[in-house]
Amino acid sequence: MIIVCGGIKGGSGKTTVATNLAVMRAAEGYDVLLVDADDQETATDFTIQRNLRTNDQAGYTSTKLTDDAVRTQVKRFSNKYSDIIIDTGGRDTRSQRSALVVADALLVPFLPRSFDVWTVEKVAQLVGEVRAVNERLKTYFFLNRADASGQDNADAVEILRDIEGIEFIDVVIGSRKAFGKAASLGLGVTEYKPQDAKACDEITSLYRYVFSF
Amino acid sequence: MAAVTRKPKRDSQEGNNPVESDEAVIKAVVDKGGSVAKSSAQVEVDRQAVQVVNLRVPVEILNEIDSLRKERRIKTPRHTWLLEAIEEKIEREHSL
Repeated sequence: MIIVCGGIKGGSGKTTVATNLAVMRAAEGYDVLLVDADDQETATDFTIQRNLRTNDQAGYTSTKLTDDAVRTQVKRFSNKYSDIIIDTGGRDTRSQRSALVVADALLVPFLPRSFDVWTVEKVAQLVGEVRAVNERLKTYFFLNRADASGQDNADAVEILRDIEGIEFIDVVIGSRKAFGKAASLGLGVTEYKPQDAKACDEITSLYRYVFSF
Repeated sequence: MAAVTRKPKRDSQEGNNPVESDEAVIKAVVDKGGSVAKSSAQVEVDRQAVQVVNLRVPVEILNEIDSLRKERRIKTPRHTWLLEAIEEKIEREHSL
């Protein structure tokens, strides 16, 4: 399966989701390729840190691709890996579009903030354009870095559910420090000790949903 | 066994493989995306979302921050380090 963690808003947690899914999928024995298609190269930094920590036993293969190479190389790699997870930057770039042209699924995390949910229509438009050449692309929205309390989560969900042709995943990932702490060590949140049970449950729910597509 | 059944679903990938799509159309879709460098529109959006604050920091503290940054395996800009510190402080205050 080729999965893109994308969207057009920065800071929504795409890299955190992409790296955690890659770590978890690899831990289950699948041959995973993590593609960093974001010019910030954070997923690559994560893998460098992970390799340092694990003696080059990250568990998955990582590569950095941009622009049209995302499409051509991912297509080439698709027979060699059971799953390819592509992390894209928070903008509508050629790299992201290249990824979407060959992807099976687009995962778009949203923060429960107006500036974030205001990008919903532009993401839907982008998906519409890509579907003209890749009809099998499925798109999933979900709430990430959600608030512990308050009305903002519910308000954002109401907007995210309302987009035609895009599925809303009823999995809410909270704003939890464990994700950042784990990432700084090159670990997935499920590997981090002391374990944050809620963070683990949330990312596991997303993982199960994603890989049951 | 029922004599009348639902019409079988077609394979969603049937006929939709990008390899078979017109290369020029694919390229047109891809080329609508921006390049890696920020567009002027994005710079404008960033300008609206971020406010510059002139922070006066004692040199001693800055030196300490820089030495902590150097200890990190992954190079962290001073700006990023300060933002991390601010976020941690906000989170602590909220949890009180």
